[in-house]
Amino acid sequence: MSTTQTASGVSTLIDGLILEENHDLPLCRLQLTLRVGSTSDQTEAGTAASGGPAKMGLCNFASELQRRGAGVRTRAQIDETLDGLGAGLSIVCWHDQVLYEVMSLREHFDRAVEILADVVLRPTYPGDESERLRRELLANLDDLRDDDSGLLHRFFSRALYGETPYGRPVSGTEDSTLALDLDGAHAWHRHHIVAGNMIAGAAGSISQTEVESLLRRHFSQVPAGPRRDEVIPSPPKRTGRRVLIVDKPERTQSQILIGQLAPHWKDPSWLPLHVSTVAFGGTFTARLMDEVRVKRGLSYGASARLGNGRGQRSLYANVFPSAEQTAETVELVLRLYEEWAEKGLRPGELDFIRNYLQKSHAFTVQTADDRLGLRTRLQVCDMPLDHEKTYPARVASVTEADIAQAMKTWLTPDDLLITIVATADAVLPSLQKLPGLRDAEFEVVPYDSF
Amino acid sequence: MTDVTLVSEQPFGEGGLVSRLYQLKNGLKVLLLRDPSAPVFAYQTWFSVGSRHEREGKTGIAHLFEHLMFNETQNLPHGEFDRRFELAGGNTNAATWVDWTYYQDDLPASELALAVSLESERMQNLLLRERQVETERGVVISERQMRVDDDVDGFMSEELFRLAFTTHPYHWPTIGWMQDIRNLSLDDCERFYRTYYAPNNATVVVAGDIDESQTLALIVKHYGGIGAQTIPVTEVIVEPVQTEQRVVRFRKPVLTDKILMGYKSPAQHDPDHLRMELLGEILIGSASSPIYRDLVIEKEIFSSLGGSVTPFRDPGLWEISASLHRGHGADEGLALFDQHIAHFVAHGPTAEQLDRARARMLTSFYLSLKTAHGKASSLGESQTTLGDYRELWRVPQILRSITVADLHAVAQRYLRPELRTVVIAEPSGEASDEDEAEGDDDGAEA
Repeated sequence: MSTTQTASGVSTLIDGLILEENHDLPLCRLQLTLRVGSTSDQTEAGTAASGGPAKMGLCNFASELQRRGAGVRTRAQIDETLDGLGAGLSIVCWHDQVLYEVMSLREHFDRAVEILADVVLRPTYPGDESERLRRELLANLDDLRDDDSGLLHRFFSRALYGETPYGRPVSGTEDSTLALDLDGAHAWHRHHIVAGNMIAGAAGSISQTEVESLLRRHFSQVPAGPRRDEVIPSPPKRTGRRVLIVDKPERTQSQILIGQLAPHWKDPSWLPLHVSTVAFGGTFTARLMDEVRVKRGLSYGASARLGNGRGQRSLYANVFPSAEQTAETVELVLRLYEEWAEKGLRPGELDFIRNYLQKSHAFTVQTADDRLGLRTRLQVCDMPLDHEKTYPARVASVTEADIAQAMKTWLTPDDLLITIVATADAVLPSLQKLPGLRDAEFEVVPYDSF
Repeated sequence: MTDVTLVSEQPFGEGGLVSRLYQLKNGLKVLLLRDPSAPVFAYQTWFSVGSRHEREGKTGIAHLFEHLMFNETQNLPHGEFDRRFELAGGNTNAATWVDWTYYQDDLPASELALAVSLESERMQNLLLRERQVETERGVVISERQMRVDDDVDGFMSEELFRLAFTTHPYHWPTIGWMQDIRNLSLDDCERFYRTYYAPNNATVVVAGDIDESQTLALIVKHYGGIGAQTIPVTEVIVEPVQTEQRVVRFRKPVLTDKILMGYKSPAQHDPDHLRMELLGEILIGSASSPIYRDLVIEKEIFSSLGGSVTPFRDPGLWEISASLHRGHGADEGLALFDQHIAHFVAHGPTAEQLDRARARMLTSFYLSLKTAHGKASSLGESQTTLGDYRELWRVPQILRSITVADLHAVAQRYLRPELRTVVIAEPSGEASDEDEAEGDDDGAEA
């Protein structure tokens, strides 16, 4: 690694630094965020980085392994040193990004950042820890079998996004986990840990000068290099209604997602559709909650959400009725969805929800940590940097016509994916009798077939 | 202001904030903390009533009633309470546990009058109707199915307390037994409201970007006319000393064994409580903790291990949960766990172990106070469970004063096999149709 590369790498981090200063509590946080996440496992860059065919779970595996030995410290020494400082160091891999973060009391922050720098820049990738991590990941898959909500989202994504990156779980599958190796991790690290592919951020009781000094001292060896993010391909459109039942024994309740593909965050339709979705199912008084929970008591929760990210995400409604009331609830949600798509918002709903979104925005940016997270996410997704500041004004300017156009363009009540974690024998016969599912394609899969 | 008395005040941390406790003539306690760091505030109402105030056959009433508090009042049609909060950009929610029930509103700074008006309205003017009870009963049943019946961890937690407490109301779950939830009546709900939802059984906590005088004036105006009630004295129920370990096993649709155990632990006001928390943090709280390091990282017996000490008014449990790796059984895991406990009881912690755990707990303490909501929750819980919000800021002081000898003594007092209850879930296999309890509560040793 040349001196020139090192110097330019640090400058890149400092030039792009996001700082949210707040001295109310003696806590400091430093983050380094990669502009790619597990979606890189499926792209050409991911393939190149792994030194062979793309391997599902590689990004998660390689990044988590970084803290299992770094610099001159073993994993145990890293853990003990961090504990001695009362510091927390976390590495989280999502589809869109990887977050490296250290947090501690101000008095210990310099030493905590020193460890973070070792972890990010100088992982030793020990072989025994690699095997241990592989076993941990397999155990996590075992635990997933006990998590009905986790199962629901995993199967829903697989069915909706198919072979495209968001259809592949961040942590991979049992087979892909067994196929991961240290060579792939080393190659992944060389490819992705470069300054242009990272966003530095800090929050808490620390000044700009102090953060810059920390970065210069501890990250002087960060290599220069370009961004590694690539365009995430959208999945092919599917027509018709599909019902995927994830069959799990002894369920008294059904976990249900009903959804479809949504516009990209950058698409002009996204904001109007977001406003409409919150009106449909984003608050306690939204019509979905009102009809499902308040009027009928069918489910503890009933919500709708429009996703966003670096690529095209989903729009879905989520309910969890009892097994006996599953068909009744699915029929109701389908009817509400159809009505929403065909007739749009009801009188008064737009004014109400615009008001709610504008005023509640204060909570989205309440703490320095909140603001740091949002600003980083905007950069990762290549969104305008003033996006959050202009959010209330942009929401206020959304019109009925904007919403009608967005809903007409995007809502497809005839082409919905209905994913249900339930005991199939208990719910399938009644679901097959529903008029709205007469022509639907039904599939039943075992809950542990992931 | 003659209708209200300043009871006490205390600096909130070292950043210049001050928390103050006032009391109205009707007994309502008001705890205020001005923190202008963000243009929002948290408004919380803590009632000193939870599932411990229920009785057999009526379990779940405190929680069901919490749901009903979001319904119609004399001056607000059905649905209007939530609608007004959302229109103001706020969020409202509630929680019930063994010792308390609290209602929380997070709102932009401009909406203080709304919060005071609506919360005082439902404290005194709630309307209860048969139809709403029936609807909320269905919602609560759905919640119970999600949290307990279809969730093996929730199921095991319920069984742990059922088995560990034979006499004390901590025996039953806050959400209630399913049979009781189905049988609760409108009359039960009305009686519960009249009995416990009174100003002299509540503390209003407001933290955030507020004007203290204006807040106090609004609260006096809206709550001052609500009459105090005679609150039943909370019965002192002493759980008999446990003399034998209790173990029960269930067959559940899990792939590997799971363990949930609980050692009888001190009440939150007991000086030993924080020591017990620190002890738990030392043993299993992080990757460098001896039991975690040995059984999760080195030997890979457990795939996960965690624990916490119940923050209850009366003695509760140090709960420890563990999932086993494939190829390892609950009995093997328990035996290895017990070896560590025996060593710790014999030798106590090292100074380094204590320092590391202390540092982690101090960081966690400050982290919990980041938001207005976090500040209000911490103050409200201290006031309600410990009887004095000022106890909150004793936590860092006490943490810094705890010694190795303190923890060694606590380990010897509480980490005794006869004080432990163990719930084990084992794989049922494909053919299992129902839960099958294989143990009992008569002292079978693991």
